[in-house]
Amino acid sequence: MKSLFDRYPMKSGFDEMFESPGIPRPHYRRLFERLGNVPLKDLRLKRKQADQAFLRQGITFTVYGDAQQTEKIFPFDLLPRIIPNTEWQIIEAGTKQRVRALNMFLVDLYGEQKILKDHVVPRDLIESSEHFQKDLVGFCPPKGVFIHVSGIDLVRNHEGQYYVLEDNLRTPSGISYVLENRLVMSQLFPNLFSDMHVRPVDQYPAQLLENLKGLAPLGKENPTIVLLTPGVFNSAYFEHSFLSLQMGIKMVEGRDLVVESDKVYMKTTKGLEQIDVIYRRVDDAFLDPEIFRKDSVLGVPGLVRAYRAGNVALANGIGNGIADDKAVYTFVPKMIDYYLKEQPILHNVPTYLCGIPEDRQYVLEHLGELVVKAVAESGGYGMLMGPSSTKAEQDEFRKKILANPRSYIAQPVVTLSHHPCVFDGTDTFNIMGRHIDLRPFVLWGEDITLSLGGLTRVALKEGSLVVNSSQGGGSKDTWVLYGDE
Amino acid sequence: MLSRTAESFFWIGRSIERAEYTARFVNVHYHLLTEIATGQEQADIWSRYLEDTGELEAYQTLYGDVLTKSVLEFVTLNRDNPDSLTNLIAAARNNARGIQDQLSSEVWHFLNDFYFSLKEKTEIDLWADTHDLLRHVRNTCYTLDGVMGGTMVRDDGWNFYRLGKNIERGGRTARLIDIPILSEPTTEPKRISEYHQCLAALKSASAFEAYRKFYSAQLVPKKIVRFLLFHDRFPRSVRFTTTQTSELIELIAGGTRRSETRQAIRMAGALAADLEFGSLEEVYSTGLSAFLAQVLEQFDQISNMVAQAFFRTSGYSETSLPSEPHPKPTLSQVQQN
Repeated sequence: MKSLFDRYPMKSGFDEMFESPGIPRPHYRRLFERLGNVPLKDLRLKRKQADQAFLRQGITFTVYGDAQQTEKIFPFDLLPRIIPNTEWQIIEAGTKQRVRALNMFLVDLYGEQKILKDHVVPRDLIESSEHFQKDLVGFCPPKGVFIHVSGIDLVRNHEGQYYVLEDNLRTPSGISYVLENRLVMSQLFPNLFSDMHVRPVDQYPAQLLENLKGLAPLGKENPTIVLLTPGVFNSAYFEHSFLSLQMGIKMVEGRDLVVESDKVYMKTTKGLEQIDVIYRRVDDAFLDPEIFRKDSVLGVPGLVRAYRAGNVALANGIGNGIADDKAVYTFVPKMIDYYLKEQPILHNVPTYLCGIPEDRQYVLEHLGELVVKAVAESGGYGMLMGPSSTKAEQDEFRKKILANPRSYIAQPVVTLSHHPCVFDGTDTFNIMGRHIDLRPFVLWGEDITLSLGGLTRVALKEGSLVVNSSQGGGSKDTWVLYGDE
Repeated sequence: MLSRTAESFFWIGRSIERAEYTARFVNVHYHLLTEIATGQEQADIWSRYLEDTGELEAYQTLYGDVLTKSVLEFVTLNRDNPDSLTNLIAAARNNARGIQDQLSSEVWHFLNDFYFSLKEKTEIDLWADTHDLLRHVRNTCYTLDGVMGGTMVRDDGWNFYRLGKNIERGGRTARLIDIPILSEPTTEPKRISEYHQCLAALKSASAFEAYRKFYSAQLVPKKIVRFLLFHDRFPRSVRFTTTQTSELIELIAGGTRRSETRQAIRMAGALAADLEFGSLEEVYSTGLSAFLAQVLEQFDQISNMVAQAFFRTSGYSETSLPSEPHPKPTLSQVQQN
């Protein structure tokens, strides 16, 4: 029988869905059988419906630097990514272990700084980072939790081995896509989910809300919780409104809040109302013009005073940026050993720190083979992809590295695993492999819990290894199975 | 409710009502007048309309002479006119976007669809079927009101939305009546163009059919004025909107009795009483135009007081107020007469 996947060109590297041409891996077998019979023209229609659904709901992001302020949808690929239970358990244990160690690292850094005194992490690496908030040394947030919400970026190499590419411990976004992708998928293919044994994803907002409630200053029975957004022009604005709606809390902007006597209030039609917990989606630098960027109009003057006085709880804590710095990343396996006395379950991608002379020399000699990243940048900006770079680009990065070595790291190119994706060309509509990653979301409340699945991002450009939405990435629904098939 | 949320609801109401009125007015006048009126009469009517809505100067800067074709472009799709239909719907949608967490998803999706449907329109669409485009806007505004009414919780957001709508509506109806043909109680429309002006005034308020139920089909200026100004059950009469405005402000104020709130209640109550107990004799002895100018002035004051009472919550000093991170609604303020 003819199948949709007959003409799928398997490439070298690790294919998530197929063991060999025409032979799906066990956990993809049901999907292969079910979707194999769907005519291409039906898929084309489904794809169009999906795009319309995202646009109508305003599930869009704004491209920075675009004068038109164009709202784009984050392209959605119809073929889901499937993770069998055994694999998921490794991911779950590995990310939890990592977040525990990173949180202990933050408690330590903003406290006794034992890890620096023991020379496990170099002091100058920490103190030279703009993300280290010196003013907050000596302050421990409620219950010693800094990392209430994190997103850990994982990739798989050519052998299917999982690696951690990046920890996102500040204001990670993407969970709204996880939930919306599932919703759109179930609307487009209502029959697909039966007998598939897919674990649901939609408990996330309730779990987050419960965790936020737990942060309220003691004795507050019905704490007032809000989500603080930078506003409609932020690229993750949809997510902010989505989560507020899902949790039934108010979404506020900095201009809606005011601090009086170290307490935070929102301005309402009936006067001022006190706030107990803020799920903030505004970066540290913009949070409070009294101590961070003076020109910030997104924050609230005095917010940090209120936070330190214990009158308001913030999630995430302030100063997390020092722990997801791309250079500090290198030390996470050592942190796991230092704080937990455990072996890391998930591995790091080998990383060269340009701040270290030997590493720097190696990087400068191998620019054409490595990925160079600016430690302060995110979202796929400020990167050099060695193998596809021009001589001029390499020279430009050479200068940058020499001018400011601490600001750059380099990693060997990981040939990311690929996954079949549906493409609508001008005269062809077919299925081709594209590179993917995975961002599970980790919540820290009474316990540490994971989103069931996470965001699978796809580098939709042929050959591209960059999955960020701002760089032409898309996403997929991600299924975690109850079992392994 | 957050002050900013309340203000957004208020402006969604105003923008949508303004778009609806604009679409209806332009549709009615375009079809009635292009067929019958002379070029000069058309220019007079459009000029008065643009002057009333405060758009004349902007129009003249962009287009110069008042011509039907240019006016139509200006009030429908023009990107530089903040009160063009495209921009009004964009303003409503932008306000909605900022308070998505407070809207039903039906409202947000509907308004978003509306925005995209209009954003795609070009002058080619406008000239291919002007009537269709204007009807689309008008009907979609009606439907949006229905989606709001059918899905929104009856909280302050809903009240502010209706408050914005009623204040806008009252002002627009008052401006419709302020035309020469209606200004003398004894005038009878003799020329066909005068007859059509009367008809257009009624139809622009979607009031022709309702008027006929009460006064037969005979178009008598005095009766038209009475109907559009004083009718107690027609939802677009000025009186009806002032009653609503007053009730809504009372409802929103609830138990709070700050001085700004009391002032807003008092002003809205006074205007509602003026219209409830007003008479045609009084209107004509004051002069129709002068009377309407007073009404508009009062609407304007109420609108300002509502902003002071509910949108600029006290408890912080003006100097600590951060500058606006994104533009306020682009609607030009109600024009002072």
